[in-house]
Amino acid sequence: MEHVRTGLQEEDFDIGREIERAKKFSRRTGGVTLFLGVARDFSQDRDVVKLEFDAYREMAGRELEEMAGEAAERFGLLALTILHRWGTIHPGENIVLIIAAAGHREESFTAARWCIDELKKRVPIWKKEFFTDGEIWVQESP
Amino acid sequence: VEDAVKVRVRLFAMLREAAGIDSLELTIPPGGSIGSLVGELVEKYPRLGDLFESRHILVAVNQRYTGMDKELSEGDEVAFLPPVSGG
Repeated sequence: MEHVRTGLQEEDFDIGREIERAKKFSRRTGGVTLFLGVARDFSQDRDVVKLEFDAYREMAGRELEEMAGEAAERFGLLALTILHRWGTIHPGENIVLIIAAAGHREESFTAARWCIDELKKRVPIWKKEFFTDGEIWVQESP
Repeated sequence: VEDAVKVRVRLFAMLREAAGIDSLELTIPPGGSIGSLVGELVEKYPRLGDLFESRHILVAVNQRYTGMDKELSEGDEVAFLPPVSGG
């Protein structure tokens, strides 16, 4: 399934290249939806200094692969990319990138939404928020 | 007499911090389940007790989500996972 690309990485995404990569798999692509999760500088009424991501990397990699395969099949995608970063991330920096390419816009929108929701439910990655006056493991992701 | 079962335990996020360790080997009696492993673990690292009681901790054996009643085999990797918060 080379049209499905997933991974955990420390470095930032090359978004332009990722879009080109997703587009090139099929001339039948008519819509590409991109979701980019970004670090906020404010959470739970406090100023966020940085985030740290912990991951069960072997399992997270496999869960990402499996859920991407499920999504590609379920929504009939022509290409799908899901990348998540780990390590230290500062406000304004990118956290997660999802690119769903389909024949029509509806499937690509629905798939991108499904992928981020599913990722937040089942991929073993944890976010710790560091504030000016303390730190906390994030409990839920609204 | 069956041998005791040795497994590798992995801890993440708040569990890792509370125990002060991310990985260890534990031995449980033959036919032991994950429940008995949690007992061993909390005895060794009492600070984990509160977290196992107050949080919804999930468990994965060999990188697959599973239930607390699963029977463990020699060499299994058992990971305890606090509620995930990726994305």
